[in-house]
Amino acid sequence: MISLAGYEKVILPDIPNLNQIAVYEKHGGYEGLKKAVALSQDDVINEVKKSGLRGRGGAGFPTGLKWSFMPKGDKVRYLACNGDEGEPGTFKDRQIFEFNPHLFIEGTLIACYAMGIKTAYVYIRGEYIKWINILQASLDEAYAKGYVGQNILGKGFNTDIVIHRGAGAYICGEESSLMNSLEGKRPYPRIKPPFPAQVGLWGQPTTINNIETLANAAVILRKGADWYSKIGAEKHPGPVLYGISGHVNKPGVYEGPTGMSLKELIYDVAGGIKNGKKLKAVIPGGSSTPILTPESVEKATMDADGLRAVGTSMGTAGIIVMDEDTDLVEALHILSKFYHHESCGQCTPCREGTGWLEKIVGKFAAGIANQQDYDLLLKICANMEGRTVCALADAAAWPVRNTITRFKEEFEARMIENKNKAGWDYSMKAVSGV
Amino acid sequence: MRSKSILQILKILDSSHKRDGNDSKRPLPEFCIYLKPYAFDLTPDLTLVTYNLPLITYIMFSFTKENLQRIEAEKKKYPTVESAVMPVLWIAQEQNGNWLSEAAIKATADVLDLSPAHVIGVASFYTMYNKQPVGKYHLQVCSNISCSLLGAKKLIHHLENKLAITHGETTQDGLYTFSEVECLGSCGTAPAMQINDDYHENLTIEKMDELLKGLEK
Ligand SMILES: Cc1cc2nc3c(=O)[nH]c(=O)nc-3n(C[C@H](O)[C@H](O)[C@H](O)COP(=O)(O)O)c2cc1C
Ligand code: SF4
Ligand code: FES
Repeated sequence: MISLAGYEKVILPDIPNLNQIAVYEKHGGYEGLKKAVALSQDDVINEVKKSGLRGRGGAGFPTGLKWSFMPKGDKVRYLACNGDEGEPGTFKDRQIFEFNPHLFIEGTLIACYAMGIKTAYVYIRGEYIKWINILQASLDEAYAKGYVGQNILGKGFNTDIVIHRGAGAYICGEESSLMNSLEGKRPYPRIKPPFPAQVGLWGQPTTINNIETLANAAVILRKGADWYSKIGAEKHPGPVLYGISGHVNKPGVYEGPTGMSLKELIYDVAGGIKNGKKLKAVIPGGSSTPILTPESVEKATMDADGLRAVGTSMGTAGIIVMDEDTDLVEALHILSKFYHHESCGQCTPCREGTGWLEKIVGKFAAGIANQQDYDLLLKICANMEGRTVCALADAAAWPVRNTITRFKEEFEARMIENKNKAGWDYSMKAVSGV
Repeated sequence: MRSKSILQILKILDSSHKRDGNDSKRPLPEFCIYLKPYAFDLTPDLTLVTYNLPLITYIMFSFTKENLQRIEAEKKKYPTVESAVMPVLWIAQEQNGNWLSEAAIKATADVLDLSPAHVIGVASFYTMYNKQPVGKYHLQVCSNISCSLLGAKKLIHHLENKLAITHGETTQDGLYTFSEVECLGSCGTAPAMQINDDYHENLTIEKMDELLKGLEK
């Protein structure tokens, strides 16, 4: 069994002032970059492939493979670093900005070297102005030391890193929306294909990676793919930042190997359920991932396979814990409202569907829904999933489908037919609370 | 009671017009903005009068010399000028007292050689570009899942009752605007809110009262 015992932290180690370049260098900082530039570009990509690293932004795509999609030749190309971090329950990238910004900068430089990229844009959500300033200060240091800019490490390779501040739109975390946002357009997601590796930012080949993914790349080059691939789950290896929130005694971001048991994370790492209550449900990887019952939590391990086995996915590893007193109908209503608010409105199934999901879940919250509403919710979900330009529609439909089927009794108890049984008293507020 | 009279409002506008170094006797400037009545504390009857006939005011906006230099630096970061629209909107909002008037949007469009319609299209997509005036302190409380599990809704009720405003409204004294916002990325330190740019986490009703007290001073 994979456990935290004996695990050595590499993404967020307990070293004070690691955001200062001198401290970072003293602890092996920029060694990975030095090793990378001594290798050929292909060898760096192969090293990342060999490590087994998979994206930490939500989709879990193999990073080395993604890098290898970039065409050869000397076309101008870009890297977009995704620090939009808008998925409810996710709060890990900001820890990297705050406590280990140079690790991210180093990973970004390695990615740029491997793919022949001269400009990387770091897209950071607008609310994170504090962390933007921290990163900018570290970036200035790295420029001054010659790690970023012209003729890096005297190897004749040039890369600039530019920070771009978002302005409060969850959809900008979706990679093609992010590109339109950077280009100064209205940030509608783009239809794929063409994929970003062919036609990305300003029409040029582009790779998009999450902040934590890039930090991992630096670790891989520093410590070697062999070392890295032995951490955690075999098919989904590496260190990962678990963000645990909700009804636990010690919420927060915890670094550990992939493949840890969800139970250990909740009961040991995060100190168990608040006030000694019982567990009702867990969302394991940010708000878009399907919710788990306590029985599934018993079995779940935090890696792609382990979570697929219980019908959910790793997402951003943002674990939201809910105790026995949680009103799941209200919780789902909050999420449905969120997705409705954040839909860009480009595709009919998403624009209309998210609105209806919110309204109908709101009827359950208010206790005025019936069996037809329940069936209608499932029908709307089916009409949204896989039918839109981007995955926001799926991200909105999955929580609804899975919450109402896995916790059916809670929703049935709120149906008007069962009014007398449940003895409810809900105001109309939830329905009109847009 | 809402207090300021239309005369007072015009005086305020006039003085800001003069402060910008313009001759107040000039004919109506080309930049007009439509102000939502409550932004300027109209009396209820005036609100009624002006609700359907928006008060047309004139607030000038032109970028300061220093900001024009910052804009040039922003433009250099991207291969196209259009890409600088977000950073320039941030600069415009900062200069304009934390909101984007139509004049500020037009100035943004001009300086980037874009159509105002395009810039409005961009600005209106994002929640952090304020399309109407906000108070001195913008209280942005997260009401998403992790914060709600730990009592965000109670905090919001408390705040709404205390300040007698709801989502998107500003107090009469122009001090506070309250907004319910989506996940702030503070789920591990929930419930959370932002006051202007600053994060405040692990909130309780008492802590919130303390914070507000601190602001009044
Ligand atoms: C609606 C939506 C929102 C997303 N938000 C984010 C985000 O905030 N941060 C992020 O890294 N990825 C986000 N993603 C995933 C990105 O599209 C993309 O897969 C990811 O940044 C790729 O990086 P990775 O391969 O390193 O994981 C989002 C996807 C969707 C559909
Ligand atoms: S799925 Fe929704 S968010 Fe994505 S492009 Fe379509 S309308 Fe926009
Ligand atoms: S849910 Fe409130 S900060 Fe994430």
